[in-house]
Amino acid sequence: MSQPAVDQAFFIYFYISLSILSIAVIASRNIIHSAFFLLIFLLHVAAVFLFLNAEFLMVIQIIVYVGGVLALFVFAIMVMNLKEELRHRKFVKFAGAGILAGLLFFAVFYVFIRNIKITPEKPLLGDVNTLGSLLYSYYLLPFEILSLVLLVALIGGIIIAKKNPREDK
Amino acid sequence: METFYFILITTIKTAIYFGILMLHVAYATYAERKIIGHIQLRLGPMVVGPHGLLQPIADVIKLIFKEDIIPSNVDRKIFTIAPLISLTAALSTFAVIPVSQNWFISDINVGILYVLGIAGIGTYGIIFAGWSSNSKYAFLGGLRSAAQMISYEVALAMSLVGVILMAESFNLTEIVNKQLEYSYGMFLFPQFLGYFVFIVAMLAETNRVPFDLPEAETELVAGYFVEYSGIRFSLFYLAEYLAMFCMSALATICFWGGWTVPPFLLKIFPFLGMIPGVVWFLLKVYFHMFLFFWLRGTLPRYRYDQLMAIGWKVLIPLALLNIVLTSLIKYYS
Repeated sequence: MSQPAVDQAFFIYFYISLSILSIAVIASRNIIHSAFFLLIFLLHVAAVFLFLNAEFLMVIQIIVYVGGVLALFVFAIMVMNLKEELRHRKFVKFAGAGILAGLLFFAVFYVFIRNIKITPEKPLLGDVNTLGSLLYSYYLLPFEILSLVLLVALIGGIIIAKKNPREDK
Repeated sequence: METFYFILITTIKTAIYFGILMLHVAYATYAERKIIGHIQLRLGPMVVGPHGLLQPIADVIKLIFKEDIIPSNVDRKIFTIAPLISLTAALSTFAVIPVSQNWFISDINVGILYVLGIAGIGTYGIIFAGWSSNSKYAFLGGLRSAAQMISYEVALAMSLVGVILMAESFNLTEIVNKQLEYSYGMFLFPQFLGYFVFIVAMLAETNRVPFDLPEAETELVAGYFVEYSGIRFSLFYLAEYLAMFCMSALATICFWGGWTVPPFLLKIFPFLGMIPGVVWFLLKVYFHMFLFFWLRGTLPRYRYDQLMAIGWKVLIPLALLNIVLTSLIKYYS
């Protein structure tokens, strides 16, 4: 077994399993099953990152998406207790629009990556020190703007969640 | 060929690690029963073997051969897979935990983040088990667990930021080696605030007393695994104890200097350096395991709103304060 052969085998596996899982997420009738497939899907994406030598991105993918985003999804599903299966007929109406949007997305995506060149040197994504110093020097402005956006989202969430003070009286 | 040997060696290493870990878990249940027993002026298990030493083996055999009952109204797929998610997550964390210098399965650069991330996946086992059981008690247990884990994961991760700042690395081996550069040899002393937050968040993350609300037996029978029996029940049990070991190991590595002896102690008692590092590591891990049992024997359970208040209003501000203080001291020295 040589290294390229192993690489090839893994990529074929990820290619097939990610496609099947992403269809399973939207096609399963039970919403918790969708969440379960999404969990496996996100873990597979993390594994692809690891395979591309981006350890840090893998871990962040797991912490942010699996530990945070999906946990909140599942929590919301459980609080709302959506145990009945979704009625499929309601969504069939929009199938044409959905296919159109998908085609458009793929067309745009293709235009973007058509001229892409794979550089032989590996980017230093796995290096946390490089990432940190880049974030705080070259990308400082986008970083600050993003943190401001997050702060606004936080405060907005608190205000929405809080009861109207007039109702208390 | 090199790849093949690498895979083979890693598999063998993992198998050895796994076997030793399982023995530790089996005897941790025995230790818990004995310690709790003595705290309550009982003897604990005494019948099987001398002083009940064979009790865990008997328990394992009993659990494996018991009938695996799947209730008729459960969601079968999720119900059967939930314990496996918990167990896999708990076991995977040990892939990066170094037991001694050069004793590990894998030494990745982001070890500490990996442990935190993978440990978070274990929550899904609990949530899915609670949901798929189609039972009120299990559902409430799963819901409580979801809210608790989301809140305390934040505090747990933040309490470790101080350690990361001092060690300047995410690598667990490097964190241990960095502690040796200081004469006190443990981050426990400068990071006492972080250690306090970590210990409290650790208890909440592993669903132990005084934060064992997901499985509060007086209100919820057994919480999320109330419908499970036989081998699947024991998988949950296993996952819980593995998570306890993982958190103890993390506390040992990040705050207690792992397998090393503090240099100032080594200066006074040079013979301590003769003892192999694994022994120190296990002693420190078992101190934390004892802490879990000790607290279980002495503390009552918190109310749910108290749990949330402690998490968000006490622990997270304390952890933030710790981060600010550590950064300031690091910047000005």
